[in-house]
Amino acid sequence: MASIFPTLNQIRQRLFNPSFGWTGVEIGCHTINMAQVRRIDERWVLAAVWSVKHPKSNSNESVTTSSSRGDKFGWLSKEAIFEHGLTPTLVSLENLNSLFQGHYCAATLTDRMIDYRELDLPSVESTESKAMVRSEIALEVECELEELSIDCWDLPQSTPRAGTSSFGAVSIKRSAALMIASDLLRAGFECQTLDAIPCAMARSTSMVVDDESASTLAIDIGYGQVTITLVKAGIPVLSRGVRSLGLVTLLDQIATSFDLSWADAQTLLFQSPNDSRAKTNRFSSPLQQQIIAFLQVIANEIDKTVLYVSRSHRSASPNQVLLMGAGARIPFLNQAIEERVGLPTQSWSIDLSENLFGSQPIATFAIAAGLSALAWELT
Amino acid sequence: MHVNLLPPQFVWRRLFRKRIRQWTCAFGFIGVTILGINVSLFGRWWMELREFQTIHSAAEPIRALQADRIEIAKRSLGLSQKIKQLQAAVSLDRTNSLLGIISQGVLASNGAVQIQEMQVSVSTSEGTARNDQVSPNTSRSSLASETKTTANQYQMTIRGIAIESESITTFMETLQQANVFPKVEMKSTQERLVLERTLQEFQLECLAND
Repeated sequence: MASIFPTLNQIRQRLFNPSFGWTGVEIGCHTINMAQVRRIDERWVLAAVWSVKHPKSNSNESVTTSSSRGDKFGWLSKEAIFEHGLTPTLVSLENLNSLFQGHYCAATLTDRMIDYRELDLPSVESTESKAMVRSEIALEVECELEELSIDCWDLPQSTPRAGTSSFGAVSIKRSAALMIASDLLRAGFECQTLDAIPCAMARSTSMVVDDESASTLAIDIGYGQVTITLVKAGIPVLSRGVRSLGLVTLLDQIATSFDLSWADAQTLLFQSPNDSRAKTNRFSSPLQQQIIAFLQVIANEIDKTVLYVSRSHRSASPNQVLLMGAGARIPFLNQAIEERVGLPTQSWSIDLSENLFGSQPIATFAIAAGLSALAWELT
Repeated sequence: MHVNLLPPQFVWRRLFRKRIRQWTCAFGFIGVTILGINVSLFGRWWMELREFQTIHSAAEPIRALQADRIEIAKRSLGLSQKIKQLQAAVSLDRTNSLLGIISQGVLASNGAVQIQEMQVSVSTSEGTARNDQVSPNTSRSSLASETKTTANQYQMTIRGIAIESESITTFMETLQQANVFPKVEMKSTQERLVLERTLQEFQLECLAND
């Protein structure tokens, strides 16, 4: 009877505290990942996901490293996205918003499209500190202040010094931010927030790590770069992007070595070995050797970060590693990194809604899910 | 925690759109509520109108009957007035007609009954008579009027001779069958010798009204 007739409290919760979050939109140079999470009894559930690849560009200007990448892989450069916007990608998806509940969305841009800096500035009041950060960044990028959209947050100082404060600051050209938001609006999504990757990663980490005292090294292995963020109590303590270490580099190597297309190289990279022999000798094949080399570079970057944190942020030394992003789909990646780094490693994962069937690459949508959860943070 | 890199102009525009949407929803809700109330009131009024029309159409035969009744009452009143006028114009002599009836009874006996003496006395009594009249101008209530009336009562005492007693009986039956005399009563009989023949002398009393 109780399930048939909800209590007044349940009705109030349904009316004023909807269980669905916003649509999280993670915009990368290769794909746009979208996800929406639900909150059922303090439990996170991935309610809807969608992934859209950018259409292949015929323009040679749109490629990053070589023209073949743009043609074969549908890769758009940061400049191409800022010049043409998302309309070519989203124009064919007019009814995409019907997949998700509501029309509010929170978005972020990956693959170095939003610049991230850490600044040490003299301690002033919070209102002035933001202005100081804005002026500092404008000077650094040699751009007019009015042309930039800048936001920042306080960072715990690695080595506390009297009279100074540390800030994590993100910036993007205002015109670019406006264009992205307008394109999303045209596609049926009303952008509420243009968040930064470290914040979204911190939120995604909080969704799967309940212990607030634990420090987690969240690693987003994207197509363009690997972002390493140290998260403690839901706050990004440290974040660094490792350029030229994205999946594109690995896929390019595989495609060249085996004379494959990018799509085939991607399939080969993400496919899970079926037989037990492959599992035991998982890194013996030529393909696996290339993956090992890639992982070794990541492991080295993680080691560097852990070393830096253990020296400067002693209270936030990482206890575990959390993998997210498209690269988290590489089979046995957890074990390989755990072996090399020596920290318990897991892929980002939450429960799937019953309407999502099949094997979904959940970790790919970690950042989008973190953006979706902004609905509860801002309302 | 989060940051927001959306330009303020977009944020303001979004807020404006949001407010517009909210106010539109609010006004829409108020409009629908007012419309609902109006529809409810109009619906009730319409129902009452339909009910009135139904009752009005159902009462139509009753109204027609009432009109007929008024017409009949009017005609009846006219007729009674004409009767009164005629009665005033032609005054009938009741005594003569009663004598005529008695004479018919004597003739019917073929000479077996002879009337020697007949006395007629008329008594007049006054009384009140109630007349229910229906006025043509009134639909429901009747106008009741009480008028003073005079009634004549005729008492006739007949003395005569009959050949035999059966002849007297036959004479009395003849008078009763005329439906004029509500009372025919034998007062007395006695034998009488006339010319060496025994005859029956009798006395009757008859009562009649106007």
